[in-house]
Amino acid sequence: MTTAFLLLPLGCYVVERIDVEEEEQLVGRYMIRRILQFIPVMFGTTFLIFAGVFSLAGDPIRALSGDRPIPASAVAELRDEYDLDDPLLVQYGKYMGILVDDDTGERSGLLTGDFGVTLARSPQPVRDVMADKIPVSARLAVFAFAIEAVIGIFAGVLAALRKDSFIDTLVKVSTVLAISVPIFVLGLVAQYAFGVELGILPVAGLQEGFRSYIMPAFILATTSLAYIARLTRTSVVENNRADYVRTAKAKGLSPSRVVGIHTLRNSLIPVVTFLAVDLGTLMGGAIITETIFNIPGVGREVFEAVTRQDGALVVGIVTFLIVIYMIANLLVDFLYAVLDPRIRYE
Amino acid sequence: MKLSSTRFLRLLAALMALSLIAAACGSDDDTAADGDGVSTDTEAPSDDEPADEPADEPADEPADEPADEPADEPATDGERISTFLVQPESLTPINNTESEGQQVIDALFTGLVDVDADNQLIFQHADSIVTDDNVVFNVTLKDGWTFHDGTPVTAQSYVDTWNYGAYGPNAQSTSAQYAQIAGFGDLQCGTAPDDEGNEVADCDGAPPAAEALSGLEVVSDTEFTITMAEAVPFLTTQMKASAFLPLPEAFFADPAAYDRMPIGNGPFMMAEEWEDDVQILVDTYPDYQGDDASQISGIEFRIYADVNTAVTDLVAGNLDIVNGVPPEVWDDTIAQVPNSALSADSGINYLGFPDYAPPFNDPNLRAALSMAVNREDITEGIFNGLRAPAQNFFSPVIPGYEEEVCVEWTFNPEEAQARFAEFGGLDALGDSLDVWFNQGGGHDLWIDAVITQWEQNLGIPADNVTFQQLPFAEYLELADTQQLTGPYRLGWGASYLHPQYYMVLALQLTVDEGGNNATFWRNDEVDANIEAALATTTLEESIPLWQDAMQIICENAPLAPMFFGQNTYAWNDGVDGVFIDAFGVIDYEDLTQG
Repeated sequence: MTTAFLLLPLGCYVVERIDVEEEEQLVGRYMIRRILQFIPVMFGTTFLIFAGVFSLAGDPIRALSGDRPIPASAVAELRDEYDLDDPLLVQYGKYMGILVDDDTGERSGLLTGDFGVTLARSPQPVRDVMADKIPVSARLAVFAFAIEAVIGIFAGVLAALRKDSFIDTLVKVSTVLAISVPIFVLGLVAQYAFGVELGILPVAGLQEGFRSYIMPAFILATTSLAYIARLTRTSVVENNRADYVRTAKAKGLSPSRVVGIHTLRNSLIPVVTFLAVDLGTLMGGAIITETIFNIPGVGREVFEAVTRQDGALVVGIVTFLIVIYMIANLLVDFLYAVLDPRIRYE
Repeated sequence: MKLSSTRFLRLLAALMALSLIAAACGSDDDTAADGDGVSTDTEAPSDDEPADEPADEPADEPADEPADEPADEPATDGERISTFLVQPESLTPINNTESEGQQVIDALFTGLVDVDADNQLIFQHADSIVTDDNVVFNVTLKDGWTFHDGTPVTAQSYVDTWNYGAYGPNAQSTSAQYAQIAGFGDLQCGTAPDDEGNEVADCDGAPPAAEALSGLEVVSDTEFTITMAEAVPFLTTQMKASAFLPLPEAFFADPAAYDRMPIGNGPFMMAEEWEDDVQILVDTYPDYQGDDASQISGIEFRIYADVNTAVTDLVAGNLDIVNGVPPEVWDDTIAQVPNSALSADSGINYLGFPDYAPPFNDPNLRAALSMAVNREDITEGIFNGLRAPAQNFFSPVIPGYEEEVCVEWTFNPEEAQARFAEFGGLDALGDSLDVWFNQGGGHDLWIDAVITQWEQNLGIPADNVTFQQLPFAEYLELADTQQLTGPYRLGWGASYLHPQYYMVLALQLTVDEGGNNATFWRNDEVDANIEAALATTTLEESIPLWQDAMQIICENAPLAPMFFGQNTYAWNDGVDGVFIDAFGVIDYEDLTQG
């Protein structure tokens, strides 16, 4: 999954070579520069997160054994296995695959594509855990993303065009409600109403495939949906007063063309910015939704890994999330130019 | 230089959007595959052994061809019974000490002994366990038992498993259970000085002297002897612990893979691999030889992150059994779910007083703090009557339990005030009191109630009390290294039902000695009583001695028992015969389709 995302921009670069105009070369250079920027960001963030987990107080091996202690031999062996007695930089070096691991005598780590194993009674390759959890979270996030983008923008435009009408008031009131009611309240109420009382959607879990995602995706999307509706509304209202819209109207363009091509395109810039940042949040920050609806996703996994002080798993998943953030941001920067002719790449 | 209108950018944007959608759609296909476990499991069992063909039938065919069922098999029509589970740490018996994994391990494995519904010891795979002196035990096995992969369960299976578990570098979490078998020390890593010159265990620098316990000897396929380093009168009882289960050859070949799909010798076998945070599916093992064979087709352990979600699923009728219904939703739950029950659990929660941190070395202060707490108020007020007040450290399911041990562990506000005055009152206590507990266990509520009672009954202002609420890892480390500065919370629960498990492991030995005594309070008289109890040959003889030891501990009050756990469970009409034992595990053999 990760490599697919990394290759994506490169693939686009190849597309660029086919179309030979001088502007495209600029875009190509811009893109390469952006991708090169990924590298220091990756190192910096992985190190910061690794150091953060490292600095947590308490002994993760002791916590593994819980109330019933395990003998010193076993503790020593586990500490050694996870390199917990090394200084921070050495641990990080081993994790990244810069330093040689004493146990195997080989260099193997993040840089060689080895994400390590989880810190648990039954350790598993971090790669397997990610392969398990990321598709689940991705499905939930994409679904929620689609919901908030489509409904949010539609509601915002509708409210802006019929400013101060009943619809506008409805959108304003319902978005305030959606933003102010905590997500777990919404989640639990929806779960009880649709899952238990009406029984039309599954209460929790993923047993029913696509249907299992409907309620959690809506709940997860709620807050952002409200923000997007409000953002769109404000932006469209403002642009409706702009000179170029007045000109377009004066030229006699049809109202749908004025809104669709002229107003909306320019109004979407703040919305698109928000959406891009939100994609990462939807992927990694859905802890509450995942817990309420018992969805085995990335958010919960990271949360549990942090409490377990499982550095390898935390860094592995967060690395993936960073890639998502960076790609989403890159995508947005390109979308700006599509949306607003005045934006250039230099 | 404007780019906006070029076709290229549109193409690019469309391409990226498309690939995002493609990625999402692509993974959607995966959901279909791993989402509906029931319909895909037809192919799952065929992955492993061709030998156990009949095992595939019960779960897969109920709808299509019930006539296909062999006549002599128990009626195993119908779906698997679904039950709530928290993600276990491990499914390998010798590497699991928590109750979540135990739920599954109990279904997959049957050991030498077990306890019945009345907590009496019964023999399972053991035909007899004979000893004259509690040092040498001769174990004979019932013939004809097999693992789920068809290989026989022999004396060698037991011996190999215990050797593996005891071997230090294997770092199995139950390894302390073998500590009294002769030769255990030779399987532990040696020590080497660390950077600060302290001697610490070091497996690389000082590997163990031996790989097998000298105390274990295979006599024949169905007989082996265990020689203990010293007399151990409770060994037969102790064999209930999962450390003493047998593992098949397949485990030793690849322990990591085995943990994902353990092959046991119990009434149920894994239907497919353990799906993390989702489910563990087990089916009835048709060739099971034990007395506690399953009467159902299988069990679906559905894994939840939050018990409240499981309760909602139970109320909605999507889940058959939930144990551990939280007290705050108990009334609502039993009003909506047809069946519910309570049963005794071996767990206890207590407040310990660090003997190394003055003024908590003063027995008067400890007794005052203990006697000022109305335990019944807490179990009723905070836990809705779903916990039982504790005035003894032995849980009610432990032989030798008495309701009251001494006044120090009983609510008595007048006496508490007198003892508090004797200690020196508020002046001696100072104006700050730290109370320690771990986060995430929901302990703040009842500890808050304890503090209120201290204020009411002893006049310790609640404003003076600081909650030291820490993550579990950090908390345990402070407790182990004598860094707590005030009363702390800990819990204890049994791996086997014997006074020794509570007295020696929780109250006597400290962490370094292989126990969990974080008060660091030790007493020669207690030690002498324990020694005498361990020198007896029968449980009956030893009980007065255990009780004497508890009496002395109670009078000194290094800790104050607060409440005993209870199983709070509810189930829907799809299942009958639900009983949850003292270990918090369902008695699977009694389950029938409702």
